[in-house]
Amino acid sequence: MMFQIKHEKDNSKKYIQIAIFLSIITLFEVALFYTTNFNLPAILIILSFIKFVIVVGFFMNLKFEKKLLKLFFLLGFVLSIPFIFILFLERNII
Amino acid sequence: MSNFSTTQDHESTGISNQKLAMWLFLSSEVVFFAALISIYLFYKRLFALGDLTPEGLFDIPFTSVTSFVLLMSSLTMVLSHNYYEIKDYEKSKIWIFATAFLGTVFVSGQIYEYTEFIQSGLTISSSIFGTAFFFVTGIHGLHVVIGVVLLIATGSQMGISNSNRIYSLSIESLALYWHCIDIVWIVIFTAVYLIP
Repeated sequence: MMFQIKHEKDNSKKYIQIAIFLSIITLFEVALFYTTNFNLPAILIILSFIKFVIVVGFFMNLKFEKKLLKLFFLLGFVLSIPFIFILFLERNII
Repeated sequence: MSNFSTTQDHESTGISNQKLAMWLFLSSEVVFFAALISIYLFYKRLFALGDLTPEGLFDIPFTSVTSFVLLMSSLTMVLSHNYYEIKDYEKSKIWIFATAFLGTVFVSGQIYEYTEFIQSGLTISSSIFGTAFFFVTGIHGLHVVIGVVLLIATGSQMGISNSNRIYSLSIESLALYWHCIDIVWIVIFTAVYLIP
């Protein structure tokens, strides 16, 4: 596995690797903003989603947590869906 | 020894109550910010400031730097938690203060950005776009300020008490809160600043 976090051991190197990876994605996002207009929103949403998942999974350790905590966090997303749906509906996107 | 120090919390889920409560709180924060960002996206195009468009106002290179600073603060926070877990309390304390410093740099950048916008004519009452923008980024900034205060308070108390269990839970909760601030900014940076 790319980033395996072992608890109660010094994982600082792994965390630094993850941070470098996140920085590269951020740099790529800004570069895309200046260089392309082709499907820019879609690409940026995907890239920020990747960053989001990495921070939640590895920095917040959710990947290694119990299923109940994963469900709790997922609940927030499920409850957010109506807001996004209303937004799309009002803007005639769907 | 008092009964309070030996009595364990009732944890039928196998997860500490504090941790469970923290994750529920973070889940509610996700809903809260999803609503705020939706409001911003909804009102983004409703402005009446002549040439003042979001694209013309935003200084992307500057905001990218402040976003990078906040991202690095997530690294320093996770390092602090990591060193606490391996019982290297001195390093944990150093990284906690480094996180507080980076959080302060981020907030300073946000204040500078606000000053520039206000000088350009964009205020919280100048247009619906202005209200939505200052509300979304301001509420996030307030979360960062609260986080910085909690970081300084926790870091300052770390050397005073030897109650490792209490601090272990506090640092874990604080780390979760700080990372949540970071993930919210990841979404705000993309949705508010980058998406045309």
